[in-house]
Amino acid sequence: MNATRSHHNDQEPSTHGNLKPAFIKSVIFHVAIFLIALFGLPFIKKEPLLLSPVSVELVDISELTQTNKPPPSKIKDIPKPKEPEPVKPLPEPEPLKKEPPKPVEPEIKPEPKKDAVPPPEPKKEKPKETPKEKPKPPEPKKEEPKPVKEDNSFDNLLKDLTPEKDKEKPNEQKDVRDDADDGQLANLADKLTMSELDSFRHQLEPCWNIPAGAKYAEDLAVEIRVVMNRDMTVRDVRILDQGRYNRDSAFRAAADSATRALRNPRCQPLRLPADKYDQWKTIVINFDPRNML
Amino acid sequence: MIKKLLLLLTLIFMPNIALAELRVDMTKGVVEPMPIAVSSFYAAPGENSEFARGIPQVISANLESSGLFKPLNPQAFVQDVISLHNDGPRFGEWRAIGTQALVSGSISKQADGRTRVEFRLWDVFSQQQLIGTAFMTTPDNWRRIAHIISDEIYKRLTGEDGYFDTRIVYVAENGPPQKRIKRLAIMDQDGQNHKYLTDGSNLVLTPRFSPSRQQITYMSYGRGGPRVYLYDINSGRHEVLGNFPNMTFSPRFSPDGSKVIMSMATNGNTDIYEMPLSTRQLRRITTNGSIDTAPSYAPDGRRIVFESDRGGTQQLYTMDNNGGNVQRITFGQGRYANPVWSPRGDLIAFTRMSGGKFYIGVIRPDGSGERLITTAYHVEGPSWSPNGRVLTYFKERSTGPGGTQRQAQIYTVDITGFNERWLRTPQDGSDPAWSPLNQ
Repeated sequence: MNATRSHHNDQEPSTHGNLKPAFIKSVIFHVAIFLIALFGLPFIKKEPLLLSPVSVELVDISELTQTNKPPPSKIKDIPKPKEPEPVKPLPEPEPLKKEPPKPVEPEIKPEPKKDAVPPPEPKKEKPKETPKEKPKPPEPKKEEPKPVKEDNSFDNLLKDLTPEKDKEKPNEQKDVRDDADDGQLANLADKLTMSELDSFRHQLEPCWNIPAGAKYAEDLAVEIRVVMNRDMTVRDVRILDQGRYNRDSAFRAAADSATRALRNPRCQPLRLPADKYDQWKTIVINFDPRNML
Repeated sequence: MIKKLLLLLTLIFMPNIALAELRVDMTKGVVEPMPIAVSSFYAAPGENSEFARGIPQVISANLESSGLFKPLNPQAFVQDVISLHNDGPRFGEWRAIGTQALVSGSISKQADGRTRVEFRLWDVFSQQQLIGTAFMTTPDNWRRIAHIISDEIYKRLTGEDGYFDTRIVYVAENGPPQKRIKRLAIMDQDGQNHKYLTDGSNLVLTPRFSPSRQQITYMSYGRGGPRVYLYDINSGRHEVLGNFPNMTFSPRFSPDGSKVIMSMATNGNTDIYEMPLSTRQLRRITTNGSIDTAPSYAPDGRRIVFESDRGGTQQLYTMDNNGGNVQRITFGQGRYANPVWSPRGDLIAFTRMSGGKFYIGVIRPDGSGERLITTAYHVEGPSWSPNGRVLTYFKERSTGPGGTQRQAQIYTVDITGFNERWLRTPQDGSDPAWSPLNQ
């Protein structure tokens, strides 16, 4: 019995010695789990939208309303580029190519043949080329696609003369604002307020020419990473889907159009809160025309 | 072990760190013509100066006619041609006058008598050259060069092929209604280089361009009844395609130009037939007891759109090119007619008669998204530009005392429904058909 006990007692210290590293590992592991639960889970779980920002939105409602007003001041408070050389201290991404046009790198197209299309002989009589009196053109409405002035006119971008009785229920009309206020924005609302984001978007809207009428224009959403200067001017823009940019000419045109919106002097400097530069020094903007077509 | 745990933690929290990047969805914008400056082209003193002014003018007119561009008034330009040629664009100044794109170019005479035309398209905001190309041509071909350059600019800025180096064939009309003279005529898409292809001794109708070749079919009522002719523009040859006394519509070409499709009435029943140009053997496609007519191929040649009254009213249907898998795609009030499948495949244009009015409309091939984009007392005969972006058609109205005269004019419109324009013709014009891009 004694022998047995002493044997047992002999083993105890060694067991304690083995437990120590295991205990440390266990503690680290539990701390890790705790940290994952604390920080990781909200991200992994994707909280339902608008959980945290609700109170923020309540505060911002009046500001939101203000930003929806037609912005008479919008243009005014943008410094107009009057001087020929108001070039901001942009760290020129691409140095101005000043090479004279002599060394023509473009390929020389096959020479269009002069007589590729021989004029088919009008048989016999020469038609009178001059109309007796020039009929006044009935002034076909030269309606250039007009800039859309009000929010509720966006669904008229494609003209449709269908009599009202024939029209289907406008179930396709979506509230653009609802779509825009997605979860990601909600997550960010504690950083830039909804008003600030709305103001930013409203400022860019008149500068973004959407590809209406393009084939499958609804699929031409373009994501652009914008690097901002502290003075709210754009330092650099980068189209994220470079692969599609290089192989799809329609996407390339849409992406260039979105890029021009960001570089348009009419929309610079961007309206962003100066004290939150850390939040907007890099912005990923998704230019998505789907809801306007 | 601890290193592994740290790695694990880093991987887990990386997405949260990435989320720190601000993300914004832009879902609203505007649709307005893009401001563009088309400078005169540089030419050495005393050389091709007319050329140097004419080409930019044609380019400007082309771009403006599309409705997608707004060429700026040259008087507002901030840099002269010589400086632009020698020093390159001063982008800051061009930006200040509100232009987003700039076209510059030069013209020089070569030792062999030909002329070299070179142009560059610049993005004013990013200060980069977008494209630059040079062409060699004979001086009398300058308008065509201007159209080709317009197409290049259009393609680079919109992502779609251009349509400026094209022509439109149509039926030129004059005379009183009882003795109307109808001749086949052809012109550039901007109305220039107008020519008559027939002399007016026989009535001509419904010209159709081949989508892939410089060929036209048309119907002509000469001695011996109606005949379908094939006219080759390059050779200037008219050839009888066949006698189709019971044909109700002029044939349309298949996308590769090797076949034509048409409708014919036999034993009181109108059905759709296909005919390869090589064998000229008719093959019947529909066998329905109702009137099936006005067929048009999809650009891949696999489907056909046509009109039929098999459902009780005249509506549009699509089917496989062997006549199977028929689907009705229109359900609106009134009657639908003359469907034409867009060369880019996404839309079908048609004429609709409803409530005492005519409309030109477009609809997706699955029957969704119908839009009526223009209307008139009588508007008919839509035909697509080769890039599927613009429609041409004709409008007719009564004029003169008591409304006894008719006036027919050709129009174009962007598929958004905006930018409708009258295409001037020396006389009245109807039944326009757009050519493919010149080759």
